[in-house]
Amino acid sequence: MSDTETEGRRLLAAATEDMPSGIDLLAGFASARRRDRVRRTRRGAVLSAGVAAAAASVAAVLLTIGSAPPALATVTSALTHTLTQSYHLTEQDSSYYIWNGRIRYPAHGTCTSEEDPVRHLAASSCSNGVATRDVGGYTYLSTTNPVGHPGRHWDRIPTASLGQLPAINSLAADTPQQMLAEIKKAGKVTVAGPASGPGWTGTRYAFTITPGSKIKLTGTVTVDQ
Amino acid sequence: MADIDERFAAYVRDRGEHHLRAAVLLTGEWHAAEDLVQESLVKLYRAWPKLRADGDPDAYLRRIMVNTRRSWWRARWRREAPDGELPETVIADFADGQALAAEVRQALQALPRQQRAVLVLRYYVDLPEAEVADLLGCSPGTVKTRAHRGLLSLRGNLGEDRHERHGN
Repeated sequence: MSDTETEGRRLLAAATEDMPSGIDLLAGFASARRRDRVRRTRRGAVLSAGVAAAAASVAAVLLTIGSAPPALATVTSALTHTLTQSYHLTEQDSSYYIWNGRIRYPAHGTCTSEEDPVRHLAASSCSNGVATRDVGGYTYLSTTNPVGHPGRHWDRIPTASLGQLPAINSLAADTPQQMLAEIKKAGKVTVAGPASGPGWTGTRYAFTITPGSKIKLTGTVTVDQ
Repeated sequence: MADIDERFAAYVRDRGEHHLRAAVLLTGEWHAAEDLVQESLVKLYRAWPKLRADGDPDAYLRRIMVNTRRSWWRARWRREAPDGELPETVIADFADGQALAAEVRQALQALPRQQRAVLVLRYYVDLPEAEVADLLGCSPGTVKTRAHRGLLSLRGNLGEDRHERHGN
């Protein structure tokens, strides 16, 4: 090792010697994770139309079969209508990074929620153990077994403050209005086929949103008749 | 779930400070370093169940940190154009450890971003050139060149600053 390299190592080590006391990474991680879960859960609790399901998934990419402007109009109309009434939502999502052509850090989850945007009431629960309740201007977030705290805990966070949190991965669609705006900008909503469930029939639509140069969201929305 | 949480908590207790120190060399400031590590830990935690027992969380976290830092830098560059000059700071006593730490970080921040990353990963994290190259998406030869130039620039920046301050 050269003298220059030795000096470089010594300088870099010295440059970290003034670490301030009081930095608690574990406590900070717990807070950051709570914010992230609320943000991800709320982003999920966005898309619905009557009985609707939205899925941002790899498989949904395969459903994109061409451009059809009426599909975009139908979905945006249904979403707009949804914002004026209560609704039920089931969301499945998958996220991952692509690095050197390989998929890294895959994560999957399912959330179900009931929302009343007019009265500002909401309740949701997710497969990762997260549950939220929106009432009285506050969001109550519950997690199971948070780090260092066994059992279930509820945290109260002013709902208004959640919209000001920086978006993970540059995704800004944390509210139904923002997601609707993103869907409108997508301009690439296509009919993916018929869909049905207990007591309803409808049509499944596929969409693609590109909120950043290296970020792509794909998914489906089912609109009942 | 509880088992995973506890394993993750143990990992953060064991290795968090090491990554925090590397982060401050990348960001230049402790509060920014803390933010970077926290955000990276949240991302790591999402992948935690997928990490095999013999996986290397350090390698995952380093990659996440480098990528997160890169995305931060891209978001900031439109607003902040680097001018390549050291910020003016009065450092009363060079012999003081804290002053030295701050001075070296300032000199580090004056380096081009990629050069700085190479120095931190190569000489602080102590990764081999090939691994640094893989992390930063460049060739080992480029790592070697940037490391060499970076060390000379770092020494030059510190030397000029000392020279001006002491009026020699």
